[in-house]
Amino acid sequence: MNKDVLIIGGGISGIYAAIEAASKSSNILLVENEKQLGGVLRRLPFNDFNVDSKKFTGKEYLDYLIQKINKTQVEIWTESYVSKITKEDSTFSVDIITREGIKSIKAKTIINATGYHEKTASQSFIPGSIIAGIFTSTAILNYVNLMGYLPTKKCVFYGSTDHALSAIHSLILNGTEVVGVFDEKNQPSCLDKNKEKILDRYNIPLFLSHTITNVFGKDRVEAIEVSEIVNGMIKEETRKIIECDALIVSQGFIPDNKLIEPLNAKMSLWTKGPIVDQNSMTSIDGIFVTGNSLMIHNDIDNMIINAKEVGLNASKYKPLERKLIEINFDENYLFVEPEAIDLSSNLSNINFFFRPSKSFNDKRIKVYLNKEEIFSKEYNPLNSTKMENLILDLKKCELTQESTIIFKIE
Amino acid sequence: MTSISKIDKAVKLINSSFSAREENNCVLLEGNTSSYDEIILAGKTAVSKNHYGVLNNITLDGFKEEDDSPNITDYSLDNVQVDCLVIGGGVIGSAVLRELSKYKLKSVLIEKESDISTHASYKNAGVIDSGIDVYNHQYRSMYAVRGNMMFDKLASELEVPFERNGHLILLKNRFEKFFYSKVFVKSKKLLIPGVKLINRKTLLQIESEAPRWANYAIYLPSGGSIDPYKYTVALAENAVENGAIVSLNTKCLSMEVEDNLIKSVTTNRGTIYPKVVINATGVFADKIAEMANDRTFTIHPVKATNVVLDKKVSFIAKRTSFIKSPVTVIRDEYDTKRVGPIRGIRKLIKYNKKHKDNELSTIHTISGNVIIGPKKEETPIRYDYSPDIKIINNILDEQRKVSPKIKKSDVISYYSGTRAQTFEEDFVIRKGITTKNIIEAAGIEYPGLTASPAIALDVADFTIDYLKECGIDVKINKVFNPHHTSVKPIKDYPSTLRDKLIKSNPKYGIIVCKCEEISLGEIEDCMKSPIPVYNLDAIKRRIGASGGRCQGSFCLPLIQEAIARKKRTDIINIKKSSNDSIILYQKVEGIKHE
Ligand SMILES: Cc1cc2nc3c(=O)[nH]c(=O)nc-3n(C[C@H](O)[C@H](O)[C@H](O)COP(=O)(O)OP(=O)(O)OC[C@H]3O[C@@H](n4cnc5c(N)ncnc54)[C@H](O)[C@@H]3O)c2cc1C
Repeated sequence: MNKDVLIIGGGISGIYAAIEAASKSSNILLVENEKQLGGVLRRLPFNDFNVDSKKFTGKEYLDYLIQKINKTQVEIWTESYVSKITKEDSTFSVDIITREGIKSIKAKTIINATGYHEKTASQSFIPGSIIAGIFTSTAILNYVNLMGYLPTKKCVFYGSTDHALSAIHSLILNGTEVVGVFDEKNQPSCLDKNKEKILDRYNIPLFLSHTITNVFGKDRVEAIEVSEIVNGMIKEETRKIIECDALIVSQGFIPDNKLIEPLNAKMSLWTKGPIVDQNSMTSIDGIFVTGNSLMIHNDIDNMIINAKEVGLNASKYKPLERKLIEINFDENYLFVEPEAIDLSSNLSNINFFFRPSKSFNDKRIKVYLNKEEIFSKEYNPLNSTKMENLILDLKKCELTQESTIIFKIE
Repeated sequence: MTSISKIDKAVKLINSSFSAREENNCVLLEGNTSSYDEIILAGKTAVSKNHYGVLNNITLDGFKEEDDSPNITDYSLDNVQVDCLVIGGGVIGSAVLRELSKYKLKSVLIEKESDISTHASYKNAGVIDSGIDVYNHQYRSMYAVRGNMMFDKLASELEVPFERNGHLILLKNRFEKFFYSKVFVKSKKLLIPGVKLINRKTLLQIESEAPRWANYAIYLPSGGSIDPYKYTVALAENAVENGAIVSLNTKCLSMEVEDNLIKSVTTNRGTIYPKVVINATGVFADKIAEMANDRTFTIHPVKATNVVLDKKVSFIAKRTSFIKSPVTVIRDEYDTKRVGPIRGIRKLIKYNKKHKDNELSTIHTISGNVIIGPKKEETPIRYDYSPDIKIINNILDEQRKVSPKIKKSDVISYYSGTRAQTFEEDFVIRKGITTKNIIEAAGIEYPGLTASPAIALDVADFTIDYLKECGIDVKINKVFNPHHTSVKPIKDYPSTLRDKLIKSNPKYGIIVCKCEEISLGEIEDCMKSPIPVYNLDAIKRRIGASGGRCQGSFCLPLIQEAIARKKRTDIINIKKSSNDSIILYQKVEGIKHE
């Protein structure tokens, strides 16, 4: 079986990419491991979404997306698992595990949209052994919103990501007491609007510069100890024990690229996703990435824009030789995306996403080409929790493979 | 002065309340302190060649042992008569049970936890040691070398993955080669095969990313690695397939001893009447020996902490496990000054004093992850499994000197286990001394996993000897089948075979654990094995489901559902491991939203 575009992962970004690709080709396959499309969206039935100038709940939004994709010619396989991708001359050979057996297909291009996974308790350096009652916020959403079971009656959160706040919301609505949210950073990791909507509204205290210093309990969590951190050190006199039956960890996310890592796709040290060019193509010709497997988005508007572009790019893909140059940035950035530019491809109006490494006031984002300023704009304030974007028209610039482009905050 | 009065004097110097006296040819320590370090020091001071061992009765202020009895009581084993009762379902108990199943005997193993292999035999790096690591300890080295040689056959019989890629001891400077002569002589004496000194070029052929500073290495070709849990489960399951019985959630609570014989063993599931008892209880072995009136040793648990790294960095130890030689000093990366032999040796003496016995290994595991560790600490708590974040950071800092490429974000997990160390620092494998019908397999610390097949042979021999002495006619089990089919991830099968399997059972085509690519069919297979277990940890350990990058955030609910379906019960009743390790409290009453 031959396909023009294979999209792996049926979450929001995979669905948009598939719909867009279907506008150019009638030979598109979308593969999803779960029983239904939706990915993370399946776990957020009560969140609010403002998309396509409509207001939805998560559940309504998912129904809307499914309706939308069903109107296209995209072929959809659910309960199907992409096991292996092998690169052949001009195509990819892909093994897909289904309940009917292993299906092998050939795809001209692939879009990886497999999402992310949350850092586990061990990766968050939770003290002690991992006993029952230590969950990630992902697990909470799975238990409560997907299966309809309550894994905690009284809990503490470690980490204030937006994902954590969604988990808190689901727990509160089902009667769980959330004692508090503790974050090691000195500012919240979530968007302000979510903080107001959930923490402030339900009076859940947020303790910044706090960490978990102990977990008590033999078979199930019985209590935890938290402490304040000052200048990177635990302040002894602030150690406090809180009785609870669960510790819920939400310490950040890692893009999932398990399928393309074995092909030796170059990975970014900064986004932890693959390094891509302005078309979101990875270092492997013909493989694109979008959504949270490209980088962790905290706002879905940018993610949808990117997913649509990627869908289009993949459907138009022609194997041509690329001339890649690197994008550099100073230490004031957490990341700049894309990290590479293909000079032989379209250079007009390239959309760059970035996140500052800390928050700034009265600063300008500047871009230099061979030390010459080509972009300067004030962003006030620059918030480290928020992803920003800018558009650069590089067509006007004379770029060669020797050019250096650097992003600065000044 | 007799040796006991010397010991008495020495321990009094540690703490004036301490005293030592002789009892049943052991050194008995008494007293009280608030410092655990003092107890350890006293125990080590009291070691003497003229006695069986040290019995420590010094109490630690405010310390109480936790009760870890299973939360289950019934009479399923009450009044049962058995030939052999093995207490403890770790690697030692399981290997012994399999040896015993080669005879026509009624052999029963009781294990207090909800699965086989939950303690030292699980919290274990899976190193099959060459024996050189422990050359100073008579029984540990002897059983390790003998056990090591048995693994090729065993692993193929039991279908557990095993690799024998060798181990390395890395050296930096030319003058450090003297250490090799020492190792070489010992290896000859212990019959460790093939030990040789290699240069950097050969080293790179074996381990292509060996640390930059390693100019020489001692190569120990017999070293290997295995999955300790799968190996232990396979031993126990093969024993069950050959007629032995395993009873989980069953704890030995007390014994009735009369006329130097164990008459009965009381458990939470009734009182058992065995002809002979095998003590394979790991860190609790001195407690069980005491119940049996056969105590000649004390277990002082040593907590060992290991750090597990992501497969992404498995290149640092692609095939082998290695350790820096104890005579090699490597300083910070920045330090490039040459060290001459004299300064080198001086540094070395200083360094060795500080770091004695705490070299970290870089361990290639059979699953492809690299483990670094262990860091060791004395602890009064027998199951002290709570790793200290400081220790973890410490391990990482130290290891970065060996492999600078390791980052904190490469850590996927870490764990602590406790080693059942005696003050004599050696295994105690023997027939009962005061009590006749007990066989001790105690003090089985590192490398107990490696030594397990050899220990099991001797323990089974002692057991059979005893039964024969009692006039029992012990017959060989003629239908003993050494082959066991272990559950294996079908993703490792050739495609055509996997496809065929899916067509015969579509559940093999439903992937539940995305990270490790494990299907519903495989999870169900785990519940069809000779020792079926119905909890999440057991499924994770047996087939790897939920053991990958996301550690089950996505799939644990699905695995729970699969177990509940099989057990025909509500998913709330499916636990992490023990009966108290609850995961879910209640059903959500129609998910609410305003
Ligand atoms: C961190 C660590 C790493 C190690 N790495 C290696 C290695 O790489 N290679 C190697 O060769 N060795 C290694 N070892 C050593 C090896 O793991 C042990 O020597 C070996 O597992 C001991 O097996 P065991 O059966 O004696 O003990 P255990 O596995 O502890 O088994 C004892 C069992 O007895 C049960 N029990 C106790 N009391 C009772 C009771 N009253 N009633 C019923 N059941 C009871 C316990 O629940 C337990 O399951 C390591 C040890 C540790 C701690």
